[in-house]
Amino acid sequence: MQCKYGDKVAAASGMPFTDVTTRMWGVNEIAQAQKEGMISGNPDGTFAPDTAIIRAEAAKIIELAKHPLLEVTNSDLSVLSDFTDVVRGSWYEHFVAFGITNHIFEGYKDSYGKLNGLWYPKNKLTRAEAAKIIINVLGL
Amino acid sequence: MKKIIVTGVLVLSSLGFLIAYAATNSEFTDKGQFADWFAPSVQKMQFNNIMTGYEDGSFKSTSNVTRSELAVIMDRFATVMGKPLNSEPLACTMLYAYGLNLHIYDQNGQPVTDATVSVNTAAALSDKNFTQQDGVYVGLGEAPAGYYTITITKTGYATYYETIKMEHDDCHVMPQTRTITLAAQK
Repeated sequence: MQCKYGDKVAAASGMPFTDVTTRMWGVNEIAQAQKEGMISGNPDGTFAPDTAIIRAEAAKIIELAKHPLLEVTNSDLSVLSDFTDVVRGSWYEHFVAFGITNHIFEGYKDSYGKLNGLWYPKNKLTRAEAAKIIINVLGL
Repeated sequence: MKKIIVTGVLVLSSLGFLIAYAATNSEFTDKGQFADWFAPSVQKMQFNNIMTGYEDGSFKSTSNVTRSELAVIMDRFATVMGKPLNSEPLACTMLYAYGLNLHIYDQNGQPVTDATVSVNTAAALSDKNFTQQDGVYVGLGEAPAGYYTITITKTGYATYYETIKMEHDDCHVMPQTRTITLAAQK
């Protein structure tokens, strides 16, 4: 960032994860995002910083950054009938349903431009997808 | 801080982005590989400094997002959520603007000239003095973000106090224009 006034103070000693060291790229942002409740680690205290995020996890993190959990869990699950790979009763079903209902995620289309009926919850999120869904959540 | 309620109107408008920005962001070197469905989003992410690409100037749209990358993105997202969003490129200019523009009137709508305007803040300021012309007082050029208490005194009027929050974007203080009506002393 250019000419920033009053740079965010480094999240000094309070690193919340055992596998995130103070020399790592993004360490201050990781600590800050954890403090803001936007991300959390694994039950064993690790964060696994280099592990790729899957689409279901990204849906949860990005939607909850803007919307209250209750709003997400109240979403209508009937939209999931269009997708064969979204497991009903799974931890992520509400995040997928909310994302579809609110046009945060769009489905995949086949080569004829028809929705292919898959949401790929376990696929790794690409940077292009991240850009698209975050801009959708922000409503820009 | 003791606050005296004053009859009158307060109008607040933010002129910040009109003044502080001009369009000059550079484009990603791999822009040619962007598909239509995400190209505008990548651009908006860049404008808002949420995803800024790699040091070599590329964006790498097909790469996966790691957990640490998403943490950084979400931290910037949180920063962006707290302020107006840019749909235009964000770049700093050298333009100087006064942070606080006070239009002071009496109850009859006449400009109040020669009032004493001062601000108190914890931040060290190089220019605390307001200059005045025809009832318009300007000050706080390039001030740091934070809370400022404005005090306006003028013989024959009740002293006016107000604590305001000054915002700062990545480059400049966000200018505010306020219209203040001074009440006659009881």
